[in-house]
Amino acid sequence: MDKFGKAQAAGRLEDNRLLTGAGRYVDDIAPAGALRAYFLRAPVAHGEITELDVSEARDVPGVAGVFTAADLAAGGVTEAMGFSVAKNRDGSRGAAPRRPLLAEGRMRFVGEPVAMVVASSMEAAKDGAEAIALDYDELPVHLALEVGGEAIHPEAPANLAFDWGKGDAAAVEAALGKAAHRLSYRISDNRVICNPMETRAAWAEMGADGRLTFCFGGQGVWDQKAHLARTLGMAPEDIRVLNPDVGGGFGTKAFDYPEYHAIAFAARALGRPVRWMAERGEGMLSDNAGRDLVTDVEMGFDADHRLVAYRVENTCNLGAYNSAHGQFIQSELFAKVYPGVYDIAVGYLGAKGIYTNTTPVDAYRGAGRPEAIYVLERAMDYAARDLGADAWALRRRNFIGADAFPYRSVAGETYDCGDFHRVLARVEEAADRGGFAARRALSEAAGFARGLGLAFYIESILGDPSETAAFEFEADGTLSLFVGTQSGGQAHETVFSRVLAERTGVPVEKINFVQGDSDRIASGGGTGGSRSGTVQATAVLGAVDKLVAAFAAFLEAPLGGAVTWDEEAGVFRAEASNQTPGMLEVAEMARAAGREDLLRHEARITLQARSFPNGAHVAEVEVDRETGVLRVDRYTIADDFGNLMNPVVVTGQVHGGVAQAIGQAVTEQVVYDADGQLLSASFMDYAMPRADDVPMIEFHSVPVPTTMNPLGMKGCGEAGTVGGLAAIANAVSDALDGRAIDMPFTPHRLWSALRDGPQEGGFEAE
Amino acid sequence: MTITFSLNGAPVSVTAPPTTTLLDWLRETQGLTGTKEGCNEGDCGACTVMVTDTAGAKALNACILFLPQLHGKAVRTVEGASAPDGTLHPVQQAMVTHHGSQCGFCTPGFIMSMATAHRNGQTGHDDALAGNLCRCTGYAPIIRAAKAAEGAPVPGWVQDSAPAAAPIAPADFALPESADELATWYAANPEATLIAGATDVGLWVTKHLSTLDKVAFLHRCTDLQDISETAEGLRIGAGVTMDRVLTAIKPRHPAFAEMIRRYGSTQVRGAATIGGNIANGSPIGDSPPPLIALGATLHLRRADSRRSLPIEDFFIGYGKQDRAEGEFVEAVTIPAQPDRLRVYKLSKRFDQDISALCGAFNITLEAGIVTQARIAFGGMAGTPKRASAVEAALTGQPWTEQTLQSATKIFAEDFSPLSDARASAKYRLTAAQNMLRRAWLEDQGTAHSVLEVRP
Repeated sequence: MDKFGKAQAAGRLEDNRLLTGAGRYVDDIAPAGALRAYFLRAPVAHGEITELDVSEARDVPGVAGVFTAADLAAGGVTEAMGFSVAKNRDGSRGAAPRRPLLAEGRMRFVGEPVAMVVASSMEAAKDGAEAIALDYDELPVHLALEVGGEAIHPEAPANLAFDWGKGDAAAVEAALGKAAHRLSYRISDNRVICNPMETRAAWAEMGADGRLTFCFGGQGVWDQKAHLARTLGMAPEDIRVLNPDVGGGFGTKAFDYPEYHAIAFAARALGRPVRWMAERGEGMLSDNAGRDLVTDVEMGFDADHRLVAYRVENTCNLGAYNSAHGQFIQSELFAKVYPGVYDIAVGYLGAKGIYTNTTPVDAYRGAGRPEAIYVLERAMDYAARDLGADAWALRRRNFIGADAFPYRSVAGETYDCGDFHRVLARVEEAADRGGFAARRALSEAAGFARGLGLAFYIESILGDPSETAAFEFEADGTLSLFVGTQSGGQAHETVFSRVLAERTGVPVEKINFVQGDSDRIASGGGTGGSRSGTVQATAVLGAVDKLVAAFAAFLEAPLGGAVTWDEEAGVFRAEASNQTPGMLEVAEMARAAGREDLLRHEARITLQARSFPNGAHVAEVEVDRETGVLRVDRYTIADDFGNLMNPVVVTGQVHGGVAQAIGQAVTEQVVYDADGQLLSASFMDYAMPRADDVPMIEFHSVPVPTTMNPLGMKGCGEAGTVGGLAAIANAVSDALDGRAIDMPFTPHRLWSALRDGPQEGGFEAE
Repeated sequence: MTITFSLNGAPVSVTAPPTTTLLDWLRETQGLTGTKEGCNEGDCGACTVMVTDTAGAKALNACILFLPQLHGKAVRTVEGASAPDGTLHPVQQAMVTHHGSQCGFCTPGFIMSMATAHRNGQTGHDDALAGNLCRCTGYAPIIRAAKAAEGAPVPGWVQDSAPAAAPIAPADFALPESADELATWYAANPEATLIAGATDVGLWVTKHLSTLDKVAFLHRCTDLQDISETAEGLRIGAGVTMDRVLTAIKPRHPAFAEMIRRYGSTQVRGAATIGGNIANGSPIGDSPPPLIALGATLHLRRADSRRSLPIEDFFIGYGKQDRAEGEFVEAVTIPAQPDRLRVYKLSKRFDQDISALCGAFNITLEAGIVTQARIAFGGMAGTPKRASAVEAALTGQPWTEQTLQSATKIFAEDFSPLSDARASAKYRLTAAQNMLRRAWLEDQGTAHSVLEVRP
């Protein structure tokens, strides 16, 4: 059954609100008179607290309460942050050290919350924090991405959190041994700070009825409700969690954070609403970071340049604690697509997680898939260089053929469909690869080294494969649509309302879109893993099917016979009647007939399998030979996202994803000093890409619709980031005559590479 | 003490502590939450508003704009960008058409930057929007929207004019109406902090939580805002904002103008003054190196006594300037001269990034011989500093590769830069040497400004 409808028009339902200043984000709707929370954070990366005396702070005028771990415990809250752990190669479980809500005895990264001051104004709260006596003995820090060093947790004496593996190690070793060409590379993927434009924020309020309302900028409300219920010891039904307009999430806002619990606790303890919004520097210190791993790969090619064996060993930085899914990103999630689009006979993926005295690391747009594709596509280019092969031809030689689907990859994932040759041919033409030599000559004449880089990615849609959609016909003649996903800028209101309008004939202006309210929506999977479009649209269609069936049955009596639904016209028809009621009219008939049961419909669907968006990115860069300054000059993409529901929104997702890749690859550099102090904790020090840093991006759709959901869509939210990193990096290496070099490509690093050969790692200290 | 200005077309009178920022006031007291806080330090532009004074409309960052700076001005926020009847501004309509908003948090700031540029007929959109960060869109749709709106008429409702505002006698802060008033008041209150654009002092308050006991706001001293041709050269008043410095300097020294275009966003250039950039004495301030290279003279005033000195002599040491108590920068004069200035700035990002280093070269030639060399760097020492030894090595020598090579070796005599997160000492020193080489190459006609070369 193909339920794919026509592509949606441009223009978003959200726009009028967001463009006129009427968007309502967490801090815009804090309860009147809410107290301000301020967190005293660890000033050192590793230290044993010897004194934490808040008594003077409590006396500061305006301060309503000061809370430490001891105060939480005295209030009955002794639970810690939750997280999942990986399974080690030897069958044991990854380390699970306690991550307290507020520091308990030891501070493990700069920015870790130690105490919270709640006051009538931010100034009073900060004055209160200044009055806290915090003394500590500094401990040696462990910052290196390697096993060993000062132990951060007794549960991981060598700072090794987990040691995970997947695949047939012996078979890979044997195949590598027999390969005509055995090549190995070390590839690093730099840490980034997500920096959504809206920093993390939350407020909490206890109602007179004893229920807690907790509003935060997140990517779904139900998980947070469960987390709060657990730590606060409250019944879930006594907690309402809200996500209002959210100013960007990108994975970082998907997770639980200690501040949320402290704020909810304070609101309950004081009986007054409490609000908090992270300052930018505070966000940079405390938001889960992204990426930060180094990978050793080994590739075995046969004499015909077929990739016969592939071994990947990741060493990833977890920061000071396990964050929610920290142990899963560079293991299980990296594994989804680590063999990429290539027909590889045997493969092995290993991952070690290391604790360091830095901010915890978790999912950032793409979560493991950008990392996997970055490694593979860098390695393919390096291998082409070492084999004396053309990088594009080497990829074509190893592609999974269009006739090989469904194809079970060496990672155990089943790719349902794809046509990589067609996608690559399209991008080759669109990017004018043939004209590159002439462009390079022009650049060279002007003192610029020019490079062209290709990356062919595939990515796997993640997140909960199940989702719910519900409709409710309201007394005012409108139709409410309840979804379980959460928009953080991806235009869900537009996309899902239009799907519903198209399928029911109810005008879009009569549809109320409801998201992010745990009282009004029973369950949902939130936003993450590029899941929303596919699962939520499928759920809407499922609920429409139920609605149509129920209304048709109801109409048989009044219309005097069998009733059919004319989707084109948006009306029900019956042979026996000339009445052709639309959905809203039928709802009124049902209401008049006392059939309240017909006014609400709900469907929960589960996708039978994942879809695998894929595509090719081609970047062209110029590097100034004298200063090392890089510019991304041209950028062309051909993507197979299957059918596109809203091409404008899709293009926006791709473009934004590429911009984040350009940021990571070119400008964004996280710098810790030798003591673990974050030096790049403001926008003046952490260079986010600006308008001038991002080129116009040419996007082409080469759809091979999936059969794994009725709309034939594959998902698009993270693809731009997944493909972007290696395309830019390969272009840079091409500009540097094929040399290996790691991100970020700051002027200093490129200049050093041009002068002294390749540089490893980050900032070069002297 | 009460100040008056207009807000979205309606007059307002406000009594508030002088270091209340416009952003906090809008959000906390007016319920105008459309203006967003993204960084609270003037780097992200989410709080951009349109401010109109007698000179015209500017896009400014509300997070580092203190209320007294608005006395006698008109403020327009995103809530006032569309018409009272809900009709969208042309830039808002274009943003809808081109999908220029995703999460919407940065959008109000973009709208106000775009509406201001649109009102002023500016079409250099990358420039106009360099002070606005967006994490969702990748910018291209926003740039397309700005282009699409170019031809639309400016809606009447955004065409504010500056309201009349009476002078205010000094009380908990001073709002002098002239340089004379300022001189008298400052001599009597030498411990006070002078605030011109607040692009730096604003951060003392929002980030360092400094309490400023006594402050004077200088924007009403219009006699400090003159640009004039004098016998000594181009005299620029200390209160001239950097956007006007850029315009004035562009025909004379385009390389300096280009550097100003890069070092601050539109919002920062519209607020920051040249006097503030000099007086604050930062080792990485970007205007001192070119001013030193141009041989500029600084004019200082204390009460009624005035003195002038070469600008390089003003910078004594890290955080220390040759400025007496109660003395303030009145103007700077750039001598008239043929343009030989080259300015190079290196930073991670092209726009609005702190310099790893900034070099300015003013090398005069006669018949192929260097007759005068004035070279200055920022980011290479604790102050903006002249490369005296290098200058000496060049002067009197033929402007050749050989001279260049021997001069290059001298750099280490002038500078021993630090390694930090922005760049290593080696990079700084070598890049400084390469900047001299680039200046030489430009004279050979083999290389050009990074901006001029496009394949």
